[in-house]
Amino acid sequence: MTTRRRLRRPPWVLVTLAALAVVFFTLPLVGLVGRVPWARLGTVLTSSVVREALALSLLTSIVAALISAVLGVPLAWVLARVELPGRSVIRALVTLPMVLPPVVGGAALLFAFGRRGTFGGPLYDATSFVLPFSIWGVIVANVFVAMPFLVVTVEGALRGLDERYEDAAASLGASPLGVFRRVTLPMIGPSLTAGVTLAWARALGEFGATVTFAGNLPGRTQTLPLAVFVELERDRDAAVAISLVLVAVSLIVLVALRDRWWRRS
Amino acid sequence: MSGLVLEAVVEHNGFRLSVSLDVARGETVAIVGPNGAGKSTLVRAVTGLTPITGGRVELAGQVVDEPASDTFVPPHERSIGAAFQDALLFPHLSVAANVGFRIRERRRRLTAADAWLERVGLSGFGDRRPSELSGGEARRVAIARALIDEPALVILDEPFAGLDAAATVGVRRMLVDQVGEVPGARLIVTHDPVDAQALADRVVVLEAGAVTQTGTPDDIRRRPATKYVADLVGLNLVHGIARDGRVQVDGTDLELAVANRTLSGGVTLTIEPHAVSLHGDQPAGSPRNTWTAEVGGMHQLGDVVRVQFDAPVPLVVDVTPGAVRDLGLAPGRSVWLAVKATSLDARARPD
Repeated sequence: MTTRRRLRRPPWVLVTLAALAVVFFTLPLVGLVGRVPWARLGTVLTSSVVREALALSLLTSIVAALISAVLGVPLAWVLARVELPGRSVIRALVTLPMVLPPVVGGAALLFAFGRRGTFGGPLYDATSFVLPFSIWGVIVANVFVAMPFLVVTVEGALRGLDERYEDAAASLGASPLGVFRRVTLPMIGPSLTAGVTLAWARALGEFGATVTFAGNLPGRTQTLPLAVFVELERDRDAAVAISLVLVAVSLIVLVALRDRWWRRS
Repeated sequence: MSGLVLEAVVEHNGFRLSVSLDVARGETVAIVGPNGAGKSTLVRAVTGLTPITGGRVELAGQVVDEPASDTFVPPHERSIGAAFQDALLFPHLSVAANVGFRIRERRRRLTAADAWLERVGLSGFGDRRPSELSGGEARRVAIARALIDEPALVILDEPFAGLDAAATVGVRRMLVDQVGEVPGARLIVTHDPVDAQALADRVVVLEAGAVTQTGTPDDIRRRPATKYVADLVGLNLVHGIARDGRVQVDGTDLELAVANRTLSGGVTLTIEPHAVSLHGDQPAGSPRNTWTAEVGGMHQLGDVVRVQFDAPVPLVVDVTPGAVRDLGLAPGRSVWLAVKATSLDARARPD
């Protein structure tokens, strides 16, 4: 009598549910790709609306991700390493934009930095500079919603980092800033990349805060997601084409970075 | 110029360390002590990772920490090279960049790192990543990183912890060769008396936050001051009251004759495990101390068997496997113990 080889297999319940999740993520993409007007694609994508929105989206999301990194990494470091009295309050404040509806965030930004806002008013009177409804407004709205993702990711990495490495660096003659630059930052490198990517992706897809704070001015503040929304009402083919571009750009970046993460770790 | 002078109190999370210690330039001092004795706290105080709460730390003639005068020199401004348990090599840097970490100038860093890699027996390892090293190799790199660039003080914290026996032998031999070559003061923290014996000019025993004994490795081995050290070096330590050449062992009826007749009052007897002999019947006709005791436990120790007695006096005795067979030694078996008066090293107990 022969016994069938019974290899260890993953439980079918888990496999089925996981497959269901994959299908859930795949079907909308299939739906989107199915509606792509391949014949008109070239004309739609080279139209000035799409070109300008794409350029604006790439520029603002990248600048927002960089600003998030410059401000967010030090903030994450302070939250992870410095004993502050109101640390949990600060952390709640920083992560609030992650749970807040972006429209509310945009409105709050408007009340603060609008031309008649609490801080925007005096700024306008002094310099006649208006933040909302400008490319800087887009960037500010993007930073507001995107930076929390970076802070949370990097703070987690800093907490997970064995502090003895930093102690070792200090006792080998590295100044506190030197320890941060030569040891802390490189050691959390993969998480920093992940944080910047998350922030960038969040900024690229930003809609609510941007439309509320920066408006929807083609060529000035109309980013790709806003263009999609507008074109859905006007020219469905254009909306689909722009969506395809967003999907492609996001996928390319995620896949490229994913490869580097795996190799690093 | 002096090396390290420390006369400090560190109070940290309810633990109190109060230590007075000095290490001259060119001298190697081993800090030996059980877990929780305060060895790590001492290292952190010397490096400046934990500020002291009282007293003074002086390095190369300069006060680096003194709360009374509000002096504190941060870790990176102290001329210290430290190697820690677990090596702690920076994983993102090459082996050479790790070794040369203390040197800022690039070209000098690489030259010096290459030279030190050769000295620790790892020529050609400079371009590797720490993740490609074995445990023993990583430890050598960590030690080279501490010894490089002539720091005023080298600290080696448990340099052999976590290494397998073979790697330990290699690293220890390398350290014996190299530690004496660096000009600064050297502080080695260990819980193994063999390391202290092999590497140190002087041993400082730390227990429960205080120094319990200081001396050369031989002093410590021959005349351990505390039960911890005695257990460590495998010696028996017995306390008692001496009078007229006899010692009444504390807490027992046992009275032992000692060679020194002038001692009186509290004394400590040191008894080497092989100085005690075991017999089936009471040995007669010799000027020896004899008593009976039940075997508590036995274990093989190299080519001897260490027999442990718990009462009337806690004692370990080394015998040959032949003796174990002849006497039918086994836990619970009652035997006669005999030890010559001249084998009992008695000295006054400091009260």
